[in-house]
Amino acid sequence: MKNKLIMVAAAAAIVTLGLAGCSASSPASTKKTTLTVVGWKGQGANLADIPTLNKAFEKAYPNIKLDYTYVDDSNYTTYNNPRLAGGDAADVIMVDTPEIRSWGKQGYLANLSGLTAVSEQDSTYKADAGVGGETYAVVSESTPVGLFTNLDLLKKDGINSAPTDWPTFIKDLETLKSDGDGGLVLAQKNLFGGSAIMKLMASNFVASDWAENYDAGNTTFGKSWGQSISELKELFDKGLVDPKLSLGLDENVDAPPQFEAGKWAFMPTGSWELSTLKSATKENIAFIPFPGGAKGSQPKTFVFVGTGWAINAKTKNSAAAKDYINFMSEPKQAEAYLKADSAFSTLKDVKSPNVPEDAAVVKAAADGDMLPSTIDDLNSTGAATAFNTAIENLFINPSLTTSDELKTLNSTVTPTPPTK
Amino acid sequence: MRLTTRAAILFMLPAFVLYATFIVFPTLRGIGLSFTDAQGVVGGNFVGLDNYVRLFGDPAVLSALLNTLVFAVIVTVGQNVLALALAYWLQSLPRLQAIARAGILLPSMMAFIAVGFVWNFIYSPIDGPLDSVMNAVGLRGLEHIWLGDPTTALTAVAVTNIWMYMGYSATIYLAGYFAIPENIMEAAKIDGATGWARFRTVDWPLLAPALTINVTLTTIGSLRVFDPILVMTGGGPGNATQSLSYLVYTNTTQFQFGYATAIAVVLLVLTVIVAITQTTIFRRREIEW
Repeated sequence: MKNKLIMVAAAAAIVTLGLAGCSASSPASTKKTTLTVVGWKGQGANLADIPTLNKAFEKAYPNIKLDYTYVDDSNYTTYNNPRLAGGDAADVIMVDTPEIRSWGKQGYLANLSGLTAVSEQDSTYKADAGVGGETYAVVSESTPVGLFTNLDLLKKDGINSAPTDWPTFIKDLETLKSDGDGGLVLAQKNLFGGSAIMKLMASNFVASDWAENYDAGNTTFGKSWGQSISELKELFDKGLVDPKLSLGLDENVDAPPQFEAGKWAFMPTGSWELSTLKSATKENIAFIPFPGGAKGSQPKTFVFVGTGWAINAKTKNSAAAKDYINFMSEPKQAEAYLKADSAFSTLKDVKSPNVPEDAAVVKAAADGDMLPSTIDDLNSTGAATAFNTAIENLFINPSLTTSDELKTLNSTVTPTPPTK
Repeated sequence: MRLTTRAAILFMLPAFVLYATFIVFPTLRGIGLSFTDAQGVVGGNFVGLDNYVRLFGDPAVLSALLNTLVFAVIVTVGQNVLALALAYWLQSLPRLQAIARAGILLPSMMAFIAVGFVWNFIYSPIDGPLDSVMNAVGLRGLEHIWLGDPTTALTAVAVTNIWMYMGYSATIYLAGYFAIPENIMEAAKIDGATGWARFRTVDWPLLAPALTINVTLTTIGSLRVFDPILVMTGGGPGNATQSLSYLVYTNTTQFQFGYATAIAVVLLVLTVIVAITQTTIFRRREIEW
């Protein structure tokens, strides 16, 4: 009997301790959620104030622990594709338009309709934030691409202001060349330089609704693109750009350090480089729209939809993921992000930053001389790659005629009607 | 104690399970995937031989196949000739061997991402050390845009690969030299065989096992070449440096998993055929003593 009593008491004690242990280890109110986020901004030249913003998020949401992974943009799809396919991608994923379309179409992204941040988004970007009428992302910025200009180098060679039209640009490049200075540095090894300069040239000739019409089968790479190709060929023919040298230059390793060192006067790239260039160079620089038009015309440039935030369709932390996107889209955080990236706002209550070096680009935007990116607005996810490859072909074979190049573009960039 | 069949099977079981899980299953799964239009690791519809029919008519695949074979020939020949020369030199300098063996292995221990960036800088057409050195020694005419010219880019990448793994091959040749019985070398010396004559008649035949290993490993490694291309050229200019492995990668990143796997299967078959043929031929040269 005594033994029985001891056993019952022991069992009761074990059960009580067990229950106490359970209740101590799992109160719902104190459990921290770990939210995984992946992006190609947050380090080096692509800092975009992400570390500070992430700290602010953890402070505002003490029940969420943030696990942010930075992945270099050149490896971004390689990193994410297998994880999305395998079902273990991050909860929140930084995306751009091609990724929104590719991943959204395949069901890897959650539908964000109804999210507070989505309702704050400017309606201009609705088509870029989704596919087939669904919204898969909140677009955080629109990013202008233009021409970084070394004003000190121009001044040294007797040029007192940045060029605004094509004849002046050619004359400036010829002056720089005759004085033994670098003119336009085009880094084509990663296919970026040639594609950027061609799209900048095109912004001076191609209609703003060209992409929509091309996908609908109503237009082709025609006369306006021919003018852009002729400008590039003129640079080659006059020896102002060496296509072979460009093919050997790396967008990250060669061009920016050369420009920072003051060895070249012009470098085409996006506004995201502005903060880094400003802090890395002693030169007086400006970020200007592309002087590609006829004498006396206003320079134009293009803008493409930059980064956005999306949620993995298979996330188990949907609420925390939504909190993160809403937080990053609030004016205070969004404005800090835009300032660090020198980008334009895509959200109704968020102001674009005021940076003196890109005043000419801001003016172009205000004057209606900033067009959406033609190629990046095409529906086919392979359009940009096909375009870049066709432009690379021109660098490899500079003797190709404009009509040959147009034929290549028309045959390789596939018109794709929008998904219904 | 005699080993029974049952005990032998039990001993082999763990290794077999691991091999089946991590080698056999993924290979079979991959082959199965190559007959589908899968856009992810899971799913996809059966499309029969469509992917294989498509790849044999795809100019990018044919160009990548040619590049892969050319790269494999340059690397296999270049790496083995230089490694053999290095091993020959080192075996004649016993005092240097300990330090030199560690030193020559160093490049192969480095990550290719680092090596690739260093060589990108060396080849840089603006202020790159290679062109600067050539300029300094009066060879200005030989300056070149090594990675930007479709005719030199593949060779330039191959040179980097050879630089990285030459020490590894040399170490195997050096081990081959150590395996040659000393009395054979002494007999050769007494018979007056020195220099090229000794190398041709004594070293070369007796280094056959090392040659078999080196040529097979170098060929397999270079047929699968991927990271130097990713880091140094991205497959360009044009298709000049695209390899089959790189094409598998680009198709995978574009969600064409089924097609990418079909290319990977072709690469696997090619590698197996080349490796078996090489081993069979080179083994015939090997002699026992």
